[in-house]
Amino acid sequence: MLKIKNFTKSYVKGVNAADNITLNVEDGEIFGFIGHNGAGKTTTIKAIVGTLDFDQGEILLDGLSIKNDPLLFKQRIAYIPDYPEIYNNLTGMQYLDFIVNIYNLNSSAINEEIKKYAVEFEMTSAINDEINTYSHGMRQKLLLISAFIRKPKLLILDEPFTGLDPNATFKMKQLMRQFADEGAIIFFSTHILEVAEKFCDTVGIIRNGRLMKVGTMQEVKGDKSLENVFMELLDHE
Amino acid sequence: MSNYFHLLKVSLIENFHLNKVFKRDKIISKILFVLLGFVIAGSVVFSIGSVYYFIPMMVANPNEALETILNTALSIVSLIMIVSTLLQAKGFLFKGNDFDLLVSMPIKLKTIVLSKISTLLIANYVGMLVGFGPAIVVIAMLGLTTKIMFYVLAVLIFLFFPLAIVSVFALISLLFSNIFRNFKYKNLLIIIFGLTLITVYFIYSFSMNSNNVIFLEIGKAIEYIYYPAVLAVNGLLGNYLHLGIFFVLNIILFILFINIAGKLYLKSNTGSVRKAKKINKTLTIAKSSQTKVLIKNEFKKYFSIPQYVINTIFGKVLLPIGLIVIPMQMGGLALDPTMSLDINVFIYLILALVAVLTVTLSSTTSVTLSLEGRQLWILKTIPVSTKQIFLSKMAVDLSTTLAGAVIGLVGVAILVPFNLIGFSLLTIFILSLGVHNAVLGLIINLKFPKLKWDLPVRVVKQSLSVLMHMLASFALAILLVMGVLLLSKTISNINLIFAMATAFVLLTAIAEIFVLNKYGDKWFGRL
Repeated sequence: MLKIKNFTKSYVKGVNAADNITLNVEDGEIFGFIGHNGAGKTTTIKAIVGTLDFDQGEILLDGLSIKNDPLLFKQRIAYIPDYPEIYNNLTGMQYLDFIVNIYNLNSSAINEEIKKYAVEFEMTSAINDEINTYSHGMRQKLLLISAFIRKPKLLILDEPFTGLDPNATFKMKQLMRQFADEGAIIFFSTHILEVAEKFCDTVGIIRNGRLMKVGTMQEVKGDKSLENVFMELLDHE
Repeated sequence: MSNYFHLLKVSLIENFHLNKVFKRDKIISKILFVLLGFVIAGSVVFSIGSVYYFIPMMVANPNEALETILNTALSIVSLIMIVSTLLQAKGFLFKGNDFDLLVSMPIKLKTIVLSKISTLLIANYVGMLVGFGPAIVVIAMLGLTTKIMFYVLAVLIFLFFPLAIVSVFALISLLFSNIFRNFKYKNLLIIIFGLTLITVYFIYSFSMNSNNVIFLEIGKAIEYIYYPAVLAVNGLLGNYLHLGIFFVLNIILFILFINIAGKLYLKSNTGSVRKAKKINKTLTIAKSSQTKVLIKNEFKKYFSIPQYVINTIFGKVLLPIGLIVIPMQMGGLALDPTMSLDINVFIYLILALVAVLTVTLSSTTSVTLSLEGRQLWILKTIPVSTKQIFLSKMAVDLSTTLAGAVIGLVGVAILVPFNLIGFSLLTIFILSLGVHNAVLGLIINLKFPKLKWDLPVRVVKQSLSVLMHMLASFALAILLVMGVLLLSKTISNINLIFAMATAFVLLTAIAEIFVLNKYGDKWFGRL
């Protein structure tokens, strides 16, 4: 289970980018993190994956703290940022080789896994090309392959639907569901409310750093559409 | 430890473009590229080696030759490493695009820092090879010492020397960037500091009689440049206590650096809490013409990248220094009332040569389009003509040339006996040279752009367009010097020779403007 307890982070004195956020995501759940630009989604995600230092609160994955046990925590996660910055001068295969070695994935099946996901995301012909020749979507696909071969306990994605073609989006959603069914936690941020509404088991709405609503999709939206709930929360501010 | 090697492998492939080097296609161009690299590296090593070679002839006591060569070599190496570490450490260590990726992985922060500094160290070993290697070869050639132990220790010094220097100055660079993180005029401060160093160095150089004397002076200042280098020299000369201290110091400082930087790594990349800014400005936009806005934008971009300014303003700073210092040094000759008019014009010709060597040394336009990088789409989609874009880009280079030229020419007017023809020709010559430099730089950048990069310093220092511009400038300088020499055999009137040289540069600039006008649009469209 992913537990976020009283997480607070500020970049500017007196202004909290994330303000006392508390939420739990159970194993096997797909959690959608929704908010306007600058709401605090990426700040929270970066704190979860350990790329942002924070002073208040705690973030735990299966009891492991990102602050106290960062290496064990990170061994169990795969993170895909909103802008896929990866080594431009490496080939796709060299990047995957790097991931395989860092995560100690030296099992005999790993090559088959890479082949499988490369076919699924239509990357077979480009996998040996340098990453600087890739489009935004292709970089995203490479990162997805590198995440799925890790079989992470927590897959965390920042705006994953940006730049992906319909086929890759469909494949990604299929795989995310499959991983969740196998017990993984999928945590992603998005602006696309229709996708979140159809795809997520649980959802959290964040505004100006504060978590306004969190719960199962039914609990959050009730009889209304997610879009209406989101707009109402904005209007209430 | 295995994570370290995987990180280092990736970092080397990424930073040194190893995939391109080992690509199997384009064998001929690769061979040519390697050959060109060898020629350039060979000539640098040869010229540095020749400095060391002549040192024994310049020292009073022959027994001091060995120590003087070592002092000079390690002082030069220290200076190169200090400057390059201060400039590059931030980019290599703390502002990489791979920060999010690496920190989200199960790798110790210390291991990440170790792999990053290793890449920086490898770059510094190249400097060590170029600066220190020739000294050892010269020492062997001249037979200044035949002890095997000396050469064994030299190899050890070679391996250990960069550890402490890179660690200390990388840490200083990190601390400075943390202290000045929210300081509004940080870039201006870096630019002023860099330019002051360049100015002081060149004024000092001009006051010396030859380059070798400068190197000797640098060697004498070794203890002020980097004290552990003194320990290394003493160690090589047989003081094993100093040698021991040198090795221990390097190891301890390196380990300390890894630990401190490992602890600071996360904070340095993600920033600290800053004070809230008071918002009291009203959101009003002043109306301005398109060209004016473009030019303003170009200047803003220029001054926002200190490495860009320091690398491209170098020659423009040297221009007024040269124009003022050379007449001062030649003062006795120029002020001689018995001299004929032509001899006084000859001084203007010398100053014109100074202008060629300084103005064309670098150009802002040779990397200006490359620096647009991922943002080039903005220029390509705004409703302005290509000519307006080119003009705004050339305005930066022309302004810096003009600023240097005005200061220099005022100095010339004061220091050199006034000669209307000579002064007018020199003014036209420098202005034509400025136009030529800006236009040629832009043409070269249009033909050899480097739009994919991670750090601006890679464009400013390591792109093909910069090399091409340098080669073109050398070619022009050689053409002018050869032309003047050839003309002087048949024409005795120096005024006429100078006028012909000026006309040549002016016509070259006009021809380049014509080429840019005719093909610029097409080339820009292809970017």
